[in-house]
Formats: sequence, structure tokens, C-alpha cells
Amino acid sequence: MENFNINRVLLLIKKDVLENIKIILLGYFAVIGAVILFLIIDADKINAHLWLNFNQIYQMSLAFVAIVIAGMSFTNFRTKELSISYLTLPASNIEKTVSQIILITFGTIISYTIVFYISHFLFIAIGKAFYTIKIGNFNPFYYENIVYINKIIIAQSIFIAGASYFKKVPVFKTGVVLFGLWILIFGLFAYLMHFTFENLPNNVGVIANSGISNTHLNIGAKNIIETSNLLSGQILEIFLTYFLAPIFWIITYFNVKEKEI
Amino acid sequence: MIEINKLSFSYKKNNKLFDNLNLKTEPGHIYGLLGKNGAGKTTLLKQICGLLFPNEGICSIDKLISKTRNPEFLKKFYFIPEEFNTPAITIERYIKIYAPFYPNFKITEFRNHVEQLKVPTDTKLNKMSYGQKKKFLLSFGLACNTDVVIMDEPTNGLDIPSKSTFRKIITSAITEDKTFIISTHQIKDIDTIIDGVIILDNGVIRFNKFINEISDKLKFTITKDNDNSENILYSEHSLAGNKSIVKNTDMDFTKPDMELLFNSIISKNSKLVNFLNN
Repeated sequence: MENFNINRVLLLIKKDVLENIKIILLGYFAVIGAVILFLIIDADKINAHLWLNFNQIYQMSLAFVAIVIAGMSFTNFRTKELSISYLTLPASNIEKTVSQIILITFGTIISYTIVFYISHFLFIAIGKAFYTIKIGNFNPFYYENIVYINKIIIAQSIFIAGASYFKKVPVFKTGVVLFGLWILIFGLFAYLMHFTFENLPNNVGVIANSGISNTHLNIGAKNIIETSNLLSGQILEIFLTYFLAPIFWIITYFNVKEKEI
Repeated sequence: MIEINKLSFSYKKNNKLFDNLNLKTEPGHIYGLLGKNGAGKTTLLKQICGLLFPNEGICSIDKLISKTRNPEFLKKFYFIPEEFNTPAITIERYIKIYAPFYPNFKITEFRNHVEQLKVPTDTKLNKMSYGQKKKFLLSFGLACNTDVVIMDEPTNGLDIPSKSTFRKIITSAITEDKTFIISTHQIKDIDTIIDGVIILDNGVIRFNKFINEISDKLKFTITKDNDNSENILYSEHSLAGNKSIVKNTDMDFTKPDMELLFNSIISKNSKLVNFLNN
């Protein structure tokens, strides 16, 4: 069993924040600045409802910030020299993993939400100065935002795992792997569909010969397909919502544990 | 105590760097780990620190297995690598961040070392020169007061006065319960401070002795060309005559010439090794 001490986790978080605070803040302000610039330049061309929907802007910018920062996690693994200093620092592999997950996942989401919440008043002030459009406030606790954050956590867990594994350009490499996996899964799914439907007429023929009418067959098959679709959909949703991120966190832990320089 | 038992390791399949390597160090000593470039010194240090994992065998410090990299193990040593990266922060901030990981860290000792080595305290670490960064890391590593301090080529990049100060600091920092391991191929920089010599050649530990054992049994002297005494174990031609290692039969203690000893071991001089082992 690995040692786990919350004080050491906090020390590791403190280390990462103090070493990278300038880059993090500059990054946040760059993203917010880019959003404001985008609003000012393109305001006329964009549907007012779209650009004034702070929740959408928040979600889009959060996705960008969260994935970029997740890709920047385990910065100490980017070079041999930094890796040596990080891996010999007296904290267990699990403490190092947990500190990165807390800082990158929860730290990014919470801090970015606070920065965005404060900045959106700036957006409003700028918007009111230039345009006579009714602008609504941003609510971070809006239900859709909370549901969306769950998806962000999953995406981040994948990119954190990628950052713990790949030494160079982890965001790009993780993206390539994800794309490859998507192609693979999509191909497998297409093949299964093709395989199932290719064999369907034969099955129907067997069932039809057994005296079951086509109407009964259609209703029965439809019910089975609908029920199984619903069930598999629910299982998939539960899996994606509750298990996917922890699975990638566990993968991250093993990447850290097995890291050699 | 560092213990390596039956260590086998290879970077590539079918090309073992270490095969069944064994090593034990005793506390209270400064060991010089000597070897040519590519002999496996840094790899061996990384195995001890848990930065590389053995294919077979075990490395441990005070019975704590290196591979686990658990905090108790990591608190046992401080590793100063040859190449390192320092964050873009001040010394004060570095201490605030890193010192809490080492329970025996002493700020007064750190300040003394920094002062002795003349490390600029008002400059950010990333703005310092290589030598200044190295001196800073040495100061920090020694102030952590870990049981083991492992240094890989610590004198590389140090100017002449700093090398001398380094030797002074190292000799004053060693205590009965500490072990220092200094890996280098610049023997002259450390030959006056080490009291244990480990010579690594092509992944094999060819020699592991204390200086007093060497001085007891060997004499380092100049011999004449026509001197064919049986007592001569190894000799090298020089302008002053033949620099030789001879059997110390008359209890005349001389300061070991590390370079000569190293060359004799590397040349696989079995006569000398057999004599020392008997």
C-alpha cells in the first residue's frame, strides 16, 4: 500500500502553484482577452443571442483552457532534468498523481470559473458601452454548466493521462491517440452493424418459417431493440459519467509509478 | 546503508549493462565512484535513487527498496544530478517550496553553505550560471541533512576556488551516520576528500576499498626503468621516472595516487587486485 499524506499533497500543490502562477494567470487573461476581442470585432456578424450567451462562451472557453492546462500537467516530465528533481522529491507516486488531479481538474475549473465570473462584469461593461443590447448575467451554477463540467472532468482525465505518459507535445499526441481510438471504435461498431444486418434476413426467415407473423416479429424485435438500446445507453451513460475519469486517473497513477528516467 | 544485490539491468535487450552487480556502502564515509565515460556511473546512481528499475535484483537504502519511491525512501537521500533545471523563482521561494519535504533541513546550514560558496542570493535561479546553480543545489542538498547525498559530477562547472570550498564543505558535513557518494571522472578534484574508492568499468565493479586499506598495502612511488622488483604491481612512464604502485612491505605510508590506481584497475591488473584481496 502506498503512503498517502494530505499535507504532502498540499505541499505538492503549493509547489506547482508557486512555480507556475505567472503562466497560469497570463494564460487566463490571454483567453479572456481573446474572448473580449472576439466579441468587439465580430459582434455585428454574430447573432446577438449567441455572443451574449455567457454560459456558451464560458463552456467553450473552459473546454479550451481545461484541455490545454490538462495537457500541461506533469510539466516536470517534459525534460529529464525536471523529472529527476520531481521523482526524487519525498512524496509517494499516489500523492504526486492526486496533487496533479486536484490542481489540474478542480483547480482549473474552480479558478477559471471565478476568473470568468469576475470578468463577465467587464464583458457587460464593454458590451453596454458599444451596443444597446440587453445582457444577462452569467450563472456558474446553471444546471447545464454543472452537467458540462462533468464532461470537462472526463476530457481532462484523458489529457492528464496523456501528459503523464508522453514526454513531448502531449496534447497533440493524446489527441491523435483519441482520434485513432475513435476511428477504431467507429469501425468496429460499423462492422458489427454490418455483420448483424447482413445476417438478419436469414434469422427472419427462420423465425418466419416457425409460424410467427411478420407483424408480431416486427413489434417484438422493435421492443427488444428499444429496451436493449435504452439499457445499453443507460449503462454507457453511467460508465461515461462515473467511471471513465477514475479509470484514466488510475492509468495516470500507473504511468507515474512506472516512470523511469 | 546502500545495498545493491544481484542487480541486472539493460537499456536494450541482449545488451546487459549490469549483470549480477553487488555493492554495499557503510555510513560515515565519502565514496568516490570512479569510471570512464559510459562505464555506467550515472545509471548506477539512478538505480540507487529509484529513477531506473532493475531487470533483476534489488537496490535499497537502509532496507527501503528504491523501486518503490515511497516518501520514507526518498527522504533518505538527496541527489544532485550532473544536468539539472531550476525553476524561475528566487532562493527564498525555493526554500519555502522544497525545504518542507525534508524534515531535517537546516536553514542556518544552508545560509552558511551559500555564503561560503558565494552563491548570489538576490538572483532568480533560472538567471544564474550553471556553476552558480550547481553551488546552490549543493548547498541545499547538504542542508537537507539526508542520510545519503549522491552527487553526479559535482565539480563540473565549478571554478577553482569553488572546488576548494566544495571540498571543505563536504569534509565538514560528513558525520558518522551519513554517506556521500561522489561520481566523477575528474579524480583530482576529489582525491583528497574521499575515503572509499569504487571503480566501475563496463558495468562491473572492479574495485571497492577504503583508502586506509589501500595505504596499508600499497605504496605509490617513483621507480627506475631498470627496477624489476617483484614488488612492483603497476607502473606508468612519466617525465620524473616510472610512477609505480608497489607492495607496501616496509609500512611506509604514502598518499594514494588515485589516477594511477584507477589506470591500473581499468587495465585489468589482476596482480594488484589479487594482492589487495589477500
